[in-house]
Amino acid sequence: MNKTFLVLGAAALSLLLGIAVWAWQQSRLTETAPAASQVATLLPQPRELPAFRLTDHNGQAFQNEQLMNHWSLLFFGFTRCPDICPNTLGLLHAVNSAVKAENPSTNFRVVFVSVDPRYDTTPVLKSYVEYFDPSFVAISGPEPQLRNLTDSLYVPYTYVPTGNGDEYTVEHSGTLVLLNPQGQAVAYFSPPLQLQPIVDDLRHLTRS
Amino acid sequence: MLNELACMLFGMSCAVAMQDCPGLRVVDPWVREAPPNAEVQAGYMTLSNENDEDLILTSVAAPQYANAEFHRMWFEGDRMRMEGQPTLVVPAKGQLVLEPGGYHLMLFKPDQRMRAGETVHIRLQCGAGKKFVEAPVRKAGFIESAPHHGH
Repeated sequence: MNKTFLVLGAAALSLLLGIAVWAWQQSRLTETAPAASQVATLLPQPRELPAFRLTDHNGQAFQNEQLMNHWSLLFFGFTRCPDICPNTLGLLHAVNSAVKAENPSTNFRVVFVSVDPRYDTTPVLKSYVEYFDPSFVAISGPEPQLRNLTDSLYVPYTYVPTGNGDEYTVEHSGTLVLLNPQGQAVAYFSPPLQLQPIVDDLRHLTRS
Repeated sequence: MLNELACMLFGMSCAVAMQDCPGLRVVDPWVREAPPNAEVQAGYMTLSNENDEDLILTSVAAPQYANAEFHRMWFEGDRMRMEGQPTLVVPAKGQLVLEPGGYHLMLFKPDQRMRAGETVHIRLQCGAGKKFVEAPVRKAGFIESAPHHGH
């Protein structure tokens, strides 16, 4: 029957077409897959940060110029966060140690941004961050300045009342943001975070 | 309740009556050492229920702290969310794992800083029964979270 041939022909044709598309996609994937990035999401263009003025854990001003000449990996959290923040800072200590073991003269550093400035005063930040790694920098500052920075990086945080008096907890992003030595955002690492892929990505990303 | 009353009235041997959450087993309890001046600490353990019915933990207490609660942390996209849990349910013939990045005990305001090697005393309440747990404090680095268990 003509009809049967037509149907068979169409089926064969679409099968062939499917294989061709698949093969083309495969070849494209292997050609264009960037070897540099396993887990990081790279921004197509480095993004400038707005002017901000915060304070570090030693009470020194920390603003855009303090980002110059360093690769900075930013993590956002608060000291009264018992689970994910200590775990992530433990991860960042391991990342920092691995990066520095490979390249002792690296200008890479970890910056912890507290999104709870009401509670996380300079002395609180100092004892907190130095417990995890004495080379870490911790920064925070009044809300408008802090929002200025976090909004520009698309890193949200919200204060959530616990229902117990005026106590609150802070819901925040678990994302890490990599800034280049010009103080521009270049890449994001999203949870769940894993040690080795981050170290591998940083090796490539911070080489330039 | 009756057991406790019996203990008080008749001076019966109460250790068994008051310490039991029948069928509940606690494996590898520990508390993460916190930085100096830290207000909160998280406690972890694996809870197993050998019973044919779900076991409900109705509260937690830790006398070395001002307060203790059950909490759950999870990611919604990349947004970290945390919520107090009024109870924990250990499924029948199953497990509930308290671990970094998931369910945990939230310990508020230690009387004094708890350092690695010290022991945190925890009391889990399952209705009228109680389970006493001694959890060592550990200095922990990064713990990669396990693939996800059902909730």
